[in-house]
Amino acid sequence: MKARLPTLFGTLLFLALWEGIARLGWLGPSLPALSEVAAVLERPAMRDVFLRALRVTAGSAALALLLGAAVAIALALLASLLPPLQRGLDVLASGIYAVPAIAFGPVLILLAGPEATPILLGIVSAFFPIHVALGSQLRYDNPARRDFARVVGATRARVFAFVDIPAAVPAFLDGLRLAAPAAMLGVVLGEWFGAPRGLGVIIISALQNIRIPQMWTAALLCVACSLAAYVLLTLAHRRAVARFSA
Amino acid sequence: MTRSIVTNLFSRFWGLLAVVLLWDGLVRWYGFNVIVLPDPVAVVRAVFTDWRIYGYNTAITLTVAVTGLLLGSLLGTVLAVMGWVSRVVSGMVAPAALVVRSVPFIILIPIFSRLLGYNLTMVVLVVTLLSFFPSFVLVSSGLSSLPPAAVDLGKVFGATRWRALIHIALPAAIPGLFASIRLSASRAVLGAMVAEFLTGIDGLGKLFLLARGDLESERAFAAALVAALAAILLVYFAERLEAAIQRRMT
Repeated sequence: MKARLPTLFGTLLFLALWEGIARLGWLGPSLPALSEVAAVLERPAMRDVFLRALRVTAGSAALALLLGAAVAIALALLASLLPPLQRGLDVLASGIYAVPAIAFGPVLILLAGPEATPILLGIVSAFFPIHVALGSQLRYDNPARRDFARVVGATRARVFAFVDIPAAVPAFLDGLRLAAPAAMLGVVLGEWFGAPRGLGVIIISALQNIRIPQMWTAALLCVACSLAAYVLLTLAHRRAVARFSA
Repeated sequence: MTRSIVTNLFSRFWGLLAVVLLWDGLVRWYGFNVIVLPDPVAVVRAVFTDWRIYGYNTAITLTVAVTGLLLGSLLGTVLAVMGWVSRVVSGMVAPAALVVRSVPFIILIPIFSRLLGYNLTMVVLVVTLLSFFPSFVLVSSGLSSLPPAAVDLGKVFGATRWRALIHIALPAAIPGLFASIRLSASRAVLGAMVAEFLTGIDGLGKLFLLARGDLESERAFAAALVAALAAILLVYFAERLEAAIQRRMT
């Protein structure tokens, strides 16, 4: 709470500096003033284009986040049912993480086509943070609680449903909030590989046609989206910690 | 003995092995044309036939990524140590931590390339910026976990501010520095490649740009394979480095 005020002040200072430096033209025409960037959205036709692109990109990112979480959960369940598989899965996951997402680009374009590439790349990027968060939780959760549940006569399935899963909820949300910006990044990268629609497409075509304010508007919309997702999931994570952690 | 080594390797790498087998099986089962989906052997062969091109571009991308990674991490560490000394900089830690976790910087690369021009320096600066924030945040948190008593004790024994910095703050900063190098390693390669992909500067990213243009699946896959191996190698090296430092520091 204490950090709120200075953060707000610092942000305002940063925005004011930006506006000033851009108005004075110190960094050349490549740095437009914030008011110019915002003005892009004033024309109704332009605003429609951006809103439609935003809906496509944000929708893809949300879907990629969900599917990435589903894959991570499936693998975590698999590994907790069959522990010998664990190490191989971890190596595979960190291998996929180490590979720069852009390297999957040509492969995905060939296999899935440019339409599906953004979502697939988003899934690949979102998967890893959730995988790590779930893995550390399912391996190091509180054994005393499980033992207690077993002693009072819970079956294995009930221990899993009523001890293990609730205990994993905070870690899952922690992974999810880190994965949200990653999903957005993956989707935009995928759109750069020639998708038909989306904010990434606007960024690339604005870069090629030197429409600087448009490029900034599209990029800042992406950033705002992932910032909003991160903040929302952080709040959810906090509530989950308060609810599920003893 | 040999058997346990084989089992060990298998339990570790079965996932990667499965991917390669699946890929090969897919090609064989559907009898894909080499343009649609080349088989693993063809891709490896493509790397070896044109090893000069792949080697040259990998060398560029890795050099740029490592240079930027080191510059950014050092800069972040220096600023974090300054923040430990002064209150003004330490007020920036919380917003920086939020930014590093929630802003996908790589999306902003087109903007940086416009601002800084299409050249190698721009790529290095982009990677520097990518690696700066994580090291600033990690080192700051390492420094803030220093017990105040440590500094007081130093003062009691007559340590000057400068000596306290060298003997107390610096050792506390080093684990964070190497952790951030490990964390940023894969992002550094990604950042360098994206910058190359967008601007057509030499490097692995440019190979993707070219591969997208002409439908040469073998070469596109080969470039992806080389990029993957280079990045995995860098990440592995950064992990080993961090582990070695941790052993020495504790």
